[in-house]
Amino acid sequence: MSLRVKVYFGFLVGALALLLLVFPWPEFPWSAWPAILLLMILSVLAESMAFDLPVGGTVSLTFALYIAGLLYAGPLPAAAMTVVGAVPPQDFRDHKPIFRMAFNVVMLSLSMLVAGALFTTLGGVPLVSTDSGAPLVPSMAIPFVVAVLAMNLLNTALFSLVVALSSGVSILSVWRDQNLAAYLISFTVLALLGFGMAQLINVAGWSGAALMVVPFAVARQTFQVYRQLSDTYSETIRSFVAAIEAKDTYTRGHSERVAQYTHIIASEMGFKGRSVERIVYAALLHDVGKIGVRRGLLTKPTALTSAEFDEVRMHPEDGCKILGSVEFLQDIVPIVRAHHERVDGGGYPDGIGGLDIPYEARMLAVADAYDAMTSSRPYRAALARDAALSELESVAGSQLDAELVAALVSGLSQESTEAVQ
Amino acid sequence: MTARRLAAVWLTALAAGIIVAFSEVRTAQGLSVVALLAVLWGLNALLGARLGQGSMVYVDTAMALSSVVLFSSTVVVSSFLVGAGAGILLNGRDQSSLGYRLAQVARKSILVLAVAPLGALVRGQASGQLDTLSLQAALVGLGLLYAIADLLTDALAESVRNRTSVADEFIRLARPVVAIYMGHVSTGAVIVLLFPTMGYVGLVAMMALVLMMQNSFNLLLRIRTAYHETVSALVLAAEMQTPSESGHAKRVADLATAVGRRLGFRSSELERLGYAALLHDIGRIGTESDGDAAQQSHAQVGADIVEQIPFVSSAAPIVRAHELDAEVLFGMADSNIAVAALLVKVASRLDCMLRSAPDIKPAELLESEVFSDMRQGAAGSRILRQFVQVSDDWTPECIRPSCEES
Repeated sequence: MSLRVKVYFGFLVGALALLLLVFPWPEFPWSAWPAILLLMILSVLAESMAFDLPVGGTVSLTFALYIAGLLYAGPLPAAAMTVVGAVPPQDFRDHKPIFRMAFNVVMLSLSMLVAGALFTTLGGVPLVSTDSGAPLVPSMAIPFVVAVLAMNLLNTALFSLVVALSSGVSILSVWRDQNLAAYLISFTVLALLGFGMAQLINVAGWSGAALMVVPFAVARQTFQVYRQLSDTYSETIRSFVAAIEAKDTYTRGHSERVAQYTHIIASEMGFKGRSVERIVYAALLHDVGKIGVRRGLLTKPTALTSAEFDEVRMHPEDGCKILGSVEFLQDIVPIVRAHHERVDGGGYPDGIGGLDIPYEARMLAVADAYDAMTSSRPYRAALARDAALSELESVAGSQLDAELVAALVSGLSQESTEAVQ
Repeated sequence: MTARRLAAVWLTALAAGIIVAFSEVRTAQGLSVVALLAVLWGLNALLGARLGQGSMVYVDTAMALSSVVLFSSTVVVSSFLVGAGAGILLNGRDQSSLGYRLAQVARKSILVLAVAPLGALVRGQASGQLDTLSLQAALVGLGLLYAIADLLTDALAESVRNRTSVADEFIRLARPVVAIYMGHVSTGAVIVLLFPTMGYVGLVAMMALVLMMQNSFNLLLRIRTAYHETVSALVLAAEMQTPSESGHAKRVADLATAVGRRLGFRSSELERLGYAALLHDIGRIGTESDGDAAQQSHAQVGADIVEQIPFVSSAAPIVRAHELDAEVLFGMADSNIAVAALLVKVASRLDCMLRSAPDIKPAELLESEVFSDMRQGAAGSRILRQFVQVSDDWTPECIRPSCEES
């Protein structure tokens, strides 16, 4: 823990105490205790169900609950909710450092108190002290929106500041990684939900809030399982392919290495996220058609007869047939099909050349060729790295795409300098 | 393309017809309400869930429940026909014929019409002296009623189409979507409760939550299908090394899960059984060895492989156990794994026998001495009886290797 972070923490605690003591808070609505208690329990549950949005950062459903607490019961109960919600049970289970948990509590409750102060100053009145069932007053809209925005922006700012302070990354780069549009959409939806929930407690009591929990929980649960499954998908393909390949000394680890090289080329060419993932899938599965080729052929120490060679040349098409039955992998089928095409048009199965070969297939071809050269075969020994790279450069422009060969060369050399350091 | 054209014609004709026919809809306010509801119905239908075997389930209970309570049946049905009609016709993931989809629209509109009087009853009570807890109970009750009626009639339609029993179809359709239906029922109730104060904003916000929920569910179904198809494809690829094996794993999986379903396996158990059956020979694929010692070790090798693969690793104990003697399995403590292992064992043996003797009926084989070891225990005899039943329902060609190629 650096001194800077400690000073920052002290500053936050001071601000929190000052705000609590100085501001004229509306009274704590003790009579509404069942609803407040329910909201607290829900925020513990929802926080322990927090999920990552694809936009980055965990915008958990608790945010909607805090907003509901603020609008329904006022700033102090809402701040109490944030204290409870900021330390979910699994933090204790995982033995998170006490200091970090305290940090979370302080940041979150400070954001909530600032938002609550703004809400009160702008004339916002908690629903619990208004006439229940009365239609909404439009004048509530401004304090509500301002409070929600303030709460969210402040919390994000405080959080990215602590990330910047402790990791040494500049605060701007923390913010740059956020996808603003998607963030705003999820934020708006959560704010609306919080608004609805406050209304619901107001008109229907705590049982109304319980009704609202069901769709929340279902949405969260399904999304969570989806995330887990999609995260382990490539792992599954990887281990499966490795298991099938393991029986053959000459292909063992081939697909995995080709996936690594393809990844290097793709990053050199500026591919990111989903498109890298797609190429890696294609690389892992590019030889799936070869599994079907008779075992003897691939390990044969002598030259193949032309009939045998034709059989081997079928494997990109066989791969397409196999992968064609997997809807999820439709977009990698053309890549697998074309990974033995040559830029000069002399490859197989379609004999297409140049730009007609999908870009990703050309990357795959470079990676595949490099791995073939650097691993041993029944009929020849493995080439050393530099020899393989100059061999690659000699076929650049005829067999392989010259630009992508250059990308692999520079990517590999970067990697080895990093390894030396 | 035809679906698109039909949907366009459908939309224009219906919208025009409704505007001409109902004076209620002809006012500016009536029109905008119908339009808003139609958009929500439509989005809801576009996010319908595609279950295994291509059946589409259009869960719309939140919309149905809230709209029948809040609006007149004219508004509900007209917005339904325009919105949900277009959504169902345009849904690109629905692979059923246009006729079947039109029948879906008709079925659902009849359902909505049928619950409309009940909705009106609740509406009348709500403006009267119904306290909030009873109102909530009434709303949830009405939602559940609609949900069950929806699933039942859907199962009826599917059972006519697939020539299966209604009960089987009901369970098959309902099991994966129970949680979604619960989410719909409570959201529908919430929309009604919020309407007096929040109005259309509340309706739209709550429907946004429902659509988010359906979207996550569709993503989940998609990735599950992806796993299943990927594992099946890779197993098929591995089998290509020994052409006589081709399709064996898939047939064993189909047969074993069909029997498992009849034995009352839960869906997670069925999934595990399916993967175990698909992967039961993964330890042998590509190695040419036979004999009892090798058999035992191929199950071991296979289980070790399966254990390494995330997502299917829970199937490893079944793979490991499937080559144990039936007698040993009868005595095993963890009964679900033992039963699953027995199912894989019987299905695999049956498929191998049928391949070498294609003219024998599966039922005869199951009653012959080939399976005498299975009849040593009560559990084994029960399993064999179920196999006989399933292979009766089954067209014999489907367990024969020849049908895989066609």
